[in-house]
Amino acid sequence: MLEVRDLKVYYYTKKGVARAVDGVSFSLKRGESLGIAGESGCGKSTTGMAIMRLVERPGRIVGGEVLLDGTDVLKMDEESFRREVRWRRISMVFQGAMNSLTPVYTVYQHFKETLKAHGAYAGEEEAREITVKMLRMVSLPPEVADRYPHQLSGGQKQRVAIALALLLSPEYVIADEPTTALDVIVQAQIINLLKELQEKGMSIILISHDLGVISALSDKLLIMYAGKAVEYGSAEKVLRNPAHPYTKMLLEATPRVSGGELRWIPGSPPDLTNPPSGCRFHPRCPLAKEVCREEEPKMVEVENGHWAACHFT
Amino acid sequence: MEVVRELLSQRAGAFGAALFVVLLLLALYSMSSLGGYARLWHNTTYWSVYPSAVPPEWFGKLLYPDKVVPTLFLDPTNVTKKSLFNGAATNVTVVYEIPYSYGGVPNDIKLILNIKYESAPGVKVVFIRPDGKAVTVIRDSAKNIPTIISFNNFDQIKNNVYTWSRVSGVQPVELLFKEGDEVLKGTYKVVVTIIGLGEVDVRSELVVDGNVYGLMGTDIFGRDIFVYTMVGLPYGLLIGVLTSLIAAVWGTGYGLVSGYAGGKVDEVMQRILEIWYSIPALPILIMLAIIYKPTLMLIILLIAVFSWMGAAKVVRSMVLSLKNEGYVMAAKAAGAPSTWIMIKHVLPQVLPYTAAQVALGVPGAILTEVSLDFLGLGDPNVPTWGWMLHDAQVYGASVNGYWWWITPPGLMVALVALSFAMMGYALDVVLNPRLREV
Amino acid sequence: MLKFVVLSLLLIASILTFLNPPLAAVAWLALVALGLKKDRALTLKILTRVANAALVLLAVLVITVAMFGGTIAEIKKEMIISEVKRWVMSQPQLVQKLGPKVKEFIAQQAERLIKAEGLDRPWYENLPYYLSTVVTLELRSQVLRSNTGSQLVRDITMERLPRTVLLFTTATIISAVAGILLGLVAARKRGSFVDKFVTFAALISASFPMWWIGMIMIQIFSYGLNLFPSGGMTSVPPPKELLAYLSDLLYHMALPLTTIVLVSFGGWAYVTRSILVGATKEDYVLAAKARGLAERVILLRHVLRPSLPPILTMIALSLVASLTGAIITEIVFNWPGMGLLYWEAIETLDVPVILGLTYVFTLVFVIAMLILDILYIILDPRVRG
Repeated sequence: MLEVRDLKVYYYTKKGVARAVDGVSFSLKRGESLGIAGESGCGKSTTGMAIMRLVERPGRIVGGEVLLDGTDVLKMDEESFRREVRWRRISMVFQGAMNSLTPVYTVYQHFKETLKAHGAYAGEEEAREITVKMLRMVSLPPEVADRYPHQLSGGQKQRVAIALALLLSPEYVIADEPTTALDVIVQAQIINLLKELQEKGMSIILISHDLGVISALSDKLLIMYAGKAVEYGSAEKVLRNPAHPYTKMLLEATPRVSGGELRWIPGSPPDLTNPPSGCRFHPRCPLAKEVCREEEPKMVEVENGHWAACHFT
Repeated sequence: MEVVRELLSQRAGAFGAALFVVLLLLALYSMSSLGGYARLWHNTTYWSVYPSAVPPEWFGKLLYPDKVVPTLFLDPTNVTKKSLFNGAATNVTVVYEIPYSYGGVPNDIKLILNIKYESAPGVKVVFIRPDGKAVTVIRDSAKNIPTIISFNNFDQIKNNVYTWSRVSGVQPVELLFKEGDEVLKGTYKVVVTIIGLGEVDVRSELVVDGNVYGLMGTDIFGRDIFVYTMVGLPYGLLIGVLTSLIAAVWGTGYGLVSGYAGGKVDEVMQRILEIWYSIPALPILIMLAIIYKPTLMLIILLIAVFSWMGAAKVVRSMVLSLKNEGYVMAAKAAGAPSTWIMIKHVLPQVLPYTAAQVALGVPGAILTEVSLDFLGLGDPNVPTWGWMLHDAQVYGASVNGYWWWITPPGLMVALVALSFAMMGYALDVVLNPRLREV
Repeated sequence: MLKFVVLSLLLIASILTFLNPPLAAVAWLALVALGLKKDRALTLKILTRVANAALVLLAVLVITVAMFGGTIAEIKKEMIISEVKRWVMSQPQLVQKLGPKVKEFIAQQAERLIKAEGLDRPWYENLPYYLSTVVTLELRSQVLRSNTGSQLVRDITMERLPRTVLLFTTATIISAVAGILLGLVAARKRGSFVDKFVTFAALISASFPMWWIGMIMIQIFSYGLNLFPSGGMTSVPPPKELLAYLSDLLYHMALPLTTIVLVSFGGWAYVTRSILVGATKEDYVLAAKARGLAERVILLRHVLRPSLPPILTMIALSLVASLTGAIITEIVFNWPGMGLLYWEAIETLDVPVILGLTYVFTLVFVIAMLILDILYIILDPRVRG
């Protein structure tokens, strides 16, 4: 069970404090998958980073808990978190994963050093065997092991990144925009790959701006806007019956196979160092009333297992 | 001018810009009020009456306040001209009085004698001390006497003073001004008597060279270091900025064409760039300077020829990434000619980088030029800081302790370089946000 | 295993080049053959670089000879004429016999000699001759001599080269180590005191002429405090005993060494810092951290190792720059190396020595760039293709 409670990540910049993630909560049972959606800059990537404890200066996790089977991993000391949790229990596929391989090492060397870092290295031969096995799992030929990153295509690099993430059979994998910057066919392949993994019982936290990608993969859905969770619940319920105007607009802006007119959301996300008062979405919301400007809406349960933060639900 | 505002918001950038403004104002002052001194750079006669290689006045006042002697330019207190034998001969007597109340010995005494005569008259110079002792320092025909007579260096005076004092190996002026270890205070007199046939006309001046001079002292030729430090400033700025500007403009053009053309053209141009990079600039420059004895403008061009590669490299990589930007592609798709796209869309984006390259190139340019001058290979008609340092080195300024000769020009070179390095550094940070701290 | 063979062959061939050129040629050929067989693309790439370097060298040589060609010929002609004049005038009988025809006779004799040396032809016809003498440094100096009295430019240069290397290589190593370490600290603790100090030191490095700092150092430590000698490499006469000699050498080296280090370490530190700061912001560094690698491993393997090529570029460039910078710094400290020789040659307008030295400087520069290129190919798989 992975539970995130009231997570807060602030960036302390010269312009002021940017509240990138401001009180986000969700929970995920083993085997369940969660999709986090929102426009760029809404804090969805930062949420993923915070779970991995990878938030870097000038950012800081200022509050909240990340409970992994009941233990708050944010309170662990860095070294034991690194050894016991990071990558071993929760791993990650990065946004723009093509750049997540160091250019001067071969694919195999990446696998080897990751095994070493977690005390799972038992000789060259075994490490090679594991590498080839992992590569096969993501449908890559064994020769790839001795290639350098620049010798691989974007899709191949993405597969290597996924294979690396699966190396220690973690319970949770955070996939941050795993298909961005790939062409459509490769995107579909990667989505299928993730689906297979999910069917094998792995929990995936899929972070994407693309609700289409997310809806194909997730059991649960978290919609974020300007650092806040605006809607959360089972994917089916949220998609069928969106309660927050933002979710509705986001859905309308997502292309569907069935066709229909594509809408876009007017305006742009707010400056997080100086967010709007009340509901952060009110300047762009078609339903906005006086109360939205003055009062911040609380998360309320719309139906069983479906929450939304809007004054008009 | 967003870039300028950001530049000034950076501490280094603001400091560099402020320093530049100060230097520019000083340069304007130098050009307007000291400009004439540039022509006097090689005029050793003009400077020979000034004390040679003495420290700044404030330095003397700080270290040996009661021994400081200022430089005095004296006019005669009394000139008498008598016609003898009904005009067949003339007797001119010139008397100088030196009111002397200083604790130190003057650096030298210089008597400037311009005598116009029909046939060479006899000249007698008598030095009278406050204690009444008189020494005849010169008794000779006018044709054996130089126009500017240095008491310390004119052999006849040396001999006469040594004979008089029965001491040698000490500067004559010191013997004349001291009784034992004590410097005599009071009024010294120098009496010049000239007797010659026919008409004799005398114009003269007496200079008591102090042991300190002005704000920055003098060099071995008596040249005022402050004056030439200031005179060198506009040249320093001109050399640095012009060289770097030429290099950056050429480099920008080169990078623009290379990056935009791409393909074979780019490959060939990059090869040339590579080859240019592997030519050792300074030895080649030195050689060129030896052969062609270039003027300042040519030197500027030559240095620029060896310093445009950085700009070309930066601009090319900028162009490569700009080429794929939507608006450039759009312009291309719309059928705009490539020259037009380059000038209208690419160049404006690249210009701030060129500006950064200009600023970053100034230190290198000025250091190279100073080095050439230091080696004595620069344009000898331009009084630059490099030439000052050249002379300082040739006349052993550092081993003789003439720090006031070495320090100002070098410091000025560094200040000019520093101001541009700081502006360039700040521009670089503004333009490459990766270097910036959040 | 293969790597080891290649490396040892490379080493042997390099050493042999100086000791026994024909044998070295065999070793080089073997190396190329082996390379072509094992990794064709890589070997061809390296060979292209070598050819490139040779091209640069040739270009610089031709340009210098072209520029000096006319000058050399003129100087040589004048020398021949004055030589002949002196020879004729030293024989009173001959002068008597010739009478008024003396001038004509001198002109004839001189012309004959000038023709014999090929000096009547334009410089480009003599290019092969000039080139070969410059490349082998078999020119004869006009004024300067080596300590042993040799007039061969090679002897004069080879006598000076080790001295320059001694001073500047030592100084470069010291400032490189200090600068890189400082840059490392600054990159890890951005905004700290060390970081600010590095920026400050770099600005000093960029703005002050090294030789001017040298003059000031002499002023302070030699003239003012009388702690160190103002110049030279050893006392005159140098101590006989080895230990005494070494300490005397160190005593004379102290001031120039300090000067060079003082002016250059800032640049090193700043460049190292910039490279590393850029490198730590790479995506793959964050990815390495996510994979649970230890801090030390990340720094060594994912920050330092990928930064090695640019850092090496800096090392090579500043080593070479230090050599040319030596020209003036040596003059100030009266250090009898190549720089001072260059100055002496300029002062006496000893053209052959100037030509030879320019060639040596270019050679060192080009070789350094070549080594750098090859290192880059070895260290950066992206360049290897």
